[in-house]
Amino acid sequence: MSLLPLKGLAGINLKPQHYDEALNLIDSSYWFEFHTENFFVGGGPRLDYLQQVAQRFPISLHGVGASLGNVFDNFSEHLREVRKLVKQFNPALVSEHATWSAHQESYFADLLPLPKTDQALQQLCDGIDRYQNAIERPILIENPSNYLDFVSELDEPDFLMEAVKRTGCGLLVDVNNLYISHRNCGLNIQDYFSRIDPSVVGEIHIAGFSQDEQFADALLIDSHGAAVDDQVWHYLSLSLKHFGPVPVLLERDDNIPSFNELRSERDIAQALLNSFRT
Amino acid sequence: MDTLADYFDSFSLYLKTGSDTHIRKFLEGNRNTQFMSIYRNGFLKSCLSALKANFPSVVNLLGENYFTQIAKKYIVDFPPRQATLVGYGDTFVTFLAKMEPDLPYLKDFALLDLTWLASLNSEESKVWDLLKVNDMISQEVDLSLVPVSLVSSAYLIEVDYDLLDMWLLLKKEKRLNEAIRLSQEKQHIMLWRCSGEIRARVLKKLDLVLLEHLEEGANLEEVTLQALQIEKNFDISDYFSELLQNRLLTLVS
Repeated sequence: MSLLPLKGLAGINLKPQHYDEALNLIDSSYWFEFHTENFFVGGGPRLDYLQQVAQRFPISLHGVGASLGNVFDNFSEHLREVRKLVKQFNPALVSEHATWSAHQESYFADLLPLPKTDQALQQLCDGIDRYQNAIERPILIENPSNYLDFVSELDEPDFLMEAVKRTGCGLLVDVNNLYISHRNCGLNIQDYFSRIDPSVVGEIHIAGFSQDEQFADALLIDSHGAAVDDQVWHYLSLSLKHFGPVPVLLERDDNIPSFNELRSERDIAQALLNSFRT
Repeated sequence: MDTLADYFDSFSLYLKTGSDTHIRKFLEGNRNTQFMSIYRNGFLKSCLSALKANFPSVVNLLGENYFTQIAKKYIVDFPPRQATLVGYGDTFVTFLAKMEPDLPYLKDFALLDLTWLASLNSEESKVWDLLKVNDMISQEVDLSLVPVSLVSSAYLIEVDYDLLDMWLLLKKEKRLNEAIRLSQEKQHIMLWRCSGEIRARVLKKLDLVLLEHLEEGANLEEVTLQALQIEKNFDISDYFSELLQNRLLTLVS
């Protein structure tokens, strides 16, 4: 599979309140992302809408619950659900996270950090292998937002590139997560970019962040609840320069504005992509 | 470092209890360890948001603040067991019954919320509609002997209070203009999905008997015999027609 099926195009993660407006769009350059686990249902209007959107636009299935770094008791059942969706809707992209979310029988509904150790890397690779085998295609894995530094033997870009090398997956570079990690933990974004092989980057995410209620700007949170910050736009531009015009996805999961407002933000990303087209 | 399993155990313990004693040894640098709270807050916030979405009538009945207090205790005691929050809260009904003995009707509202959600997201059934019926009649099939069942979105439930009307209001309204008046009187209710929307209705004794038989895959002749024991003048044709119109029947293959 080519890692760039949506090369040069910007999309939006689609929320239920915008389904009807999306279906009325005339501009066919759009693509839409859906959170995979929201469609683990037998039937009903959710699946009907997904079907309608997928018939008109390319879609991406973005998993938030597989816990690839620490697979859980129901992982096989989880993979069966993902496989069913991938077979039914044939998404242009399938992605997940280089994180963990579950332990034994408990699911924590968050993208939790892995220690960057050889042991954790191997466990993550095992999870990616099982996921890719189940759906019979490669996936993209996304870099996490960092709030604290946990014990590590590898830096994050080396950790991710090693996972790519061992499993054949690609990378989804979330620029907002990088900016948050930069502000919270001092991560050097330009150095990070330079250590990622551009040929493995299949998608870029952008989003808005917020400040923690208690710690204010000492702790930025990956809330997806605000407009994209100027600094994130800046780093998106740098990332496109480095990785080329890979698909860009605008994420918004909280304080959701009108569809037109999201379209305006998405169009900024599209204009940036256009300027980097070769 | 300690084993990876120790890391996950320690982190999980922190998320569930807020105790950072064990996870601290995995932290590096001089960052404020209080920042760990972001992970616990994230876990609680996501689960709370799912419970609010899944139990709207309970939220409106209790108010946001009190619901949040109860829900947080539930989340810690019963974190999700599946990596999706779509149906999270399957044990919330019994939890509420234990937590709030002074509000004995609360579990019934929660059961209706949960059943509404299950019906909305249930598998599609091949509906036995008028077109198919006419087709079978033209092929001289004896309809009374055809085994049928209820569609998979049809749920029959029993509640202890006569609360369907109140639930329908509370599901949509954050505040009621009238005081809550409920009688402790058992209600049997059916919820089902029809053209993408959930319908609900109170069942009379006759309805309940017939629908329970249909749920088990009886044919119309067997259903009629059951009905005649309750109501001498029962007419299956009207009843059958209503079931078809409401897209409630599916053929048992």
